[in-house]
Amino acid sequence: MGNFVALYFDAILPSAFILTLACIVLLLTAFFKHKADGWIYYSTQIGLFVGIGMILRQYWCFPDAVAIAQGRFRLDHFSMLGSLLVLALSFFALFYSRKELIRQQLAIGEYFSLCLFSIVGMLVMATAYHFLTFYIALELMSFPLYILCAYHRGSSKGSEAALKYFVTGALASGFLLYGISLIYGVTHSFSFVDVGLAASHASGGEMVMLLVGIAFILAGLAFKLGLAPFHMWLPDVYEGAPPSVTLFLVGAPKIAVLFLLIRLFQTSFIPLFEHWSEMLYLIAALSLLVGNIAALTQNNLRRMLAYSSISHMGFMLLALAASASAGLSAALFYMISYAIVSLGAFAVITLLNHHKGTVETVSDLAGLSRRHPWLAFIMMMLIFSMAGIPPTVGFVAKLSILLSLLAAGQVAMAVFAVLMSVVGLYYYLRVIKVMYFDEPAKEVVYAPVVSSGSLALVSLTGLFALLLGIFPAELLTYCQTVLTYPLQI
Amino acid sequence: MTATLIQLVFFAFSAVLLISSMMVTLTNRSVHAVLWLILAFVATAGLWILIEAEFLGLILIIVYVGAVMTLFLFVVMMLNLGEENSLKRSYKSWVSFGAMFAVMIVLFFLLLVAPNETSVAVPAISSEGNLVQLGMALFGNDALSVELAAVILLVAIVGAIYLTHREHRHYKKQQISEQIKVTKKDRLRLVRVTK
Amino acid sequence: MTVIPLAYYLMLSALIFGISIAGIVMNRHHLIKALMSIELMLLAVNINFVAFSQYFHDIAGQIFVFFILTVAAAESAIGLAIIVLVFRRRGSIDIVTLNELRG
Repeated sequence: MGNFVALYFDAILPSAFILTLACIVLLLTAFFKHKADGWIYYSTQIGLFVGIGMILRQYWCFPDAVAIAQGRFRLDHFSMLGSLLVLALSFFALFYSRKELIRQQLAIGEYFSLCLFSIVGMLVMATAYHFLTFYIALELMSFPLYILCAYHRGSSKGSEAALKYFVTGALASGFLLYGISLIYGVTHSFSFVDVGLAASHASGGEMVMLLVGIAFILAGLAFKLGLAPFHMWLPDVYEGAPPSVTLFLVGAPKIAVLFLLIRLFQTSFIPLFEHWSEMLYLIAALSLLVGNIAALTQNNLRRMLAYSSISHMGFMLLALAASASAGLSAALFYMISYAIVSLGAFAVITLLNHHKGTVETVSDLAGLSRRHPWLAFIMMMLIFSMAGIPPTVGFVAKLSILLSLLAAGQVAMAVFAVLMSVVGLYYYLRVIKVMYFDEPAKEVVYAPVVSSGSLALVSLTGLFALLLGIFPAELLTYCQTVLTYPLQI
Repeated sequence: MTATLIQLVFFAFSAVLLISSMMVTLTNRSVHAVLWLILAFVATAGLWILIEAEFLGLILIIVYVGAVMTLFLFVVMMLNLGEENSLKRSYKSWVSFGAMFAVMIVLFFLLLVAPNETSVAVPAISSEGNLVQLGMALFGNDALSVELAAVILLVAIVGAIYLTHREHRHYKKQQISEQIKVTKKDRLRLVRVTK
Repeated sequence: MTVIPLAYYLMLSALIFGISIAGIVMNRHHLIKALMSIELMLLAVNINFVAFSQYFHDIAGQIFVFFILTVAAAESAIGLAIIVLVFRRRGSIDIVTLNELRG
């Protein structure tokens, strides 16, 4: 019994710790108002670091998969990688938030506590192994994000974005729940494993109902990942939300949803692979098309990156649809590298925000190469990586996905993906052209004020894009190893 | 109760539920929509009690009708939106309504065909009541989920208060670190003044 | 005891689900009513869960409903707060005329 309790506590320790931290931050805000701002910021960041340490300890404590609370949760190296990425990406995003919040004169305390609550949701989502815990974790992740989107109460753009995000998000969870109810109706269970077992001998009417359920769940998750045709909220939110919130949105939540998607589809729905793989191909192709075409005409930088993110999600989904083991690891590799690269790009944009003016349109970047050459170089690396130009990680990621598509015999799809990437080149290279060759239109040109710490951190993402592009083998093999966990039941 | 009576009660509640949910979407006044929604919830509670899910039926009335719908009514009255102009509802939205309806009918037939093996079942009257079973499950393996649900409620409280609180938290304060970092370039611009 | 087939409950819930989707599409001019349609949608889901749970003698479905009710309450609180915020800024909750974000 004692041993059991110890295991239980070891397993939930990171999320419990982050939850406690969120409550402490909330109390500090309640009692000390803005006097505690510095404390809140540092304790959050140190707390996230401690959380990372706790997860590393779990790596060592739990070499094998463990089920917690009768299979409500499952802790293995796959879920630990998810938690680790969530914490690291959140640390990165929150690092840039404080200055931005001060610039916009927004309250610090509520912001950090809401972010921490959302992180708890993501951590639980990475370990969820049961539809109930999955649903609760998804909502715990999303609710703070809706609120954060409207965090600048004085901004009508922000509240409009929050409204759109909320309505589509609520609709998505309605779809998801309806799907879960249909699947429960066929399999009589909420556990991912039991659903998988029951799905393997479904037939006739049951099969149809199961597929409709899967389609509903897929629609719900596609909303959360921002995949076409469920992407309408994404550009509005990226543009309308406060820049620091966008920074938080691009990384960790997507990783959490993807980890869940892989686990769910590989554990529960794998017996019906041929059927849902077609649905995934459809959504992926549509996302590639919509994302790349719509991004061509965008002037707003964050909106353009939002559409580009839709196309990237589509690209990643292609590999999930191909879904041989190599395909899965390609998708994971793609997602990890894209999350870091897009976080870096949004961080550069956020860093350039200044009390004298913010970066909104692409042309606001004009002449960056002279104002801050190093930052321009980092941005160029990140954009190269998004476009998939050779020495960067984006190229390797795209290549591995294309290879997995070819291995699955989907030649037409691979050709389509390449074509769409070529279309994408246009708007990516436009950003670089503006940064390096255009004269700034504005009369007053200010040099960005960037602290050395934030410069170092953002440089890290640029270097990551470059180094991982040259030496991708380690991460790729690690993705393959870690993916053996969701494949074993 | 005889079988026909149960069927009669089921169809009566279903009819009320269907009509009231149609009215929620069709009525022009928001207050009426809330009241129709309350009726829909009451009818659903009746349906649940009919298949012996008494506790959830009661919770639906107490929590949903008692608290959530009151919140809706409160907001509707606070915003004072008045009557919606029915002309605004364009032709297009009716077309989309029709399309959705078609999708729904397809789903309807699908469900009619699909679960035929469980078409008639008899809920067992368990020795312990519905409530005991629920409690045992809720505070057994699902205890962690209960905690997480509590966190969700906390988030909702924090969010709702933060978003609607009137007092302006946009305080201005000195940022000494920023002041020190200011360079001559930021404050002073030399402009060549030509005659 | 009961003589009502499970399929009846499922069909009822499918109908409510369809009505709620149509309601969301139709009431884009009036977001409070769209929010009410979302409540209806969750109600449809709950009817499904309760029916399955009772017919399979499996309490897990009802536990799920319990959580959906909790989460939906929190959801409507947040949604109404955002609507109040938008209304204060814009004097309207019509999502069609809210178009600062376009492109």
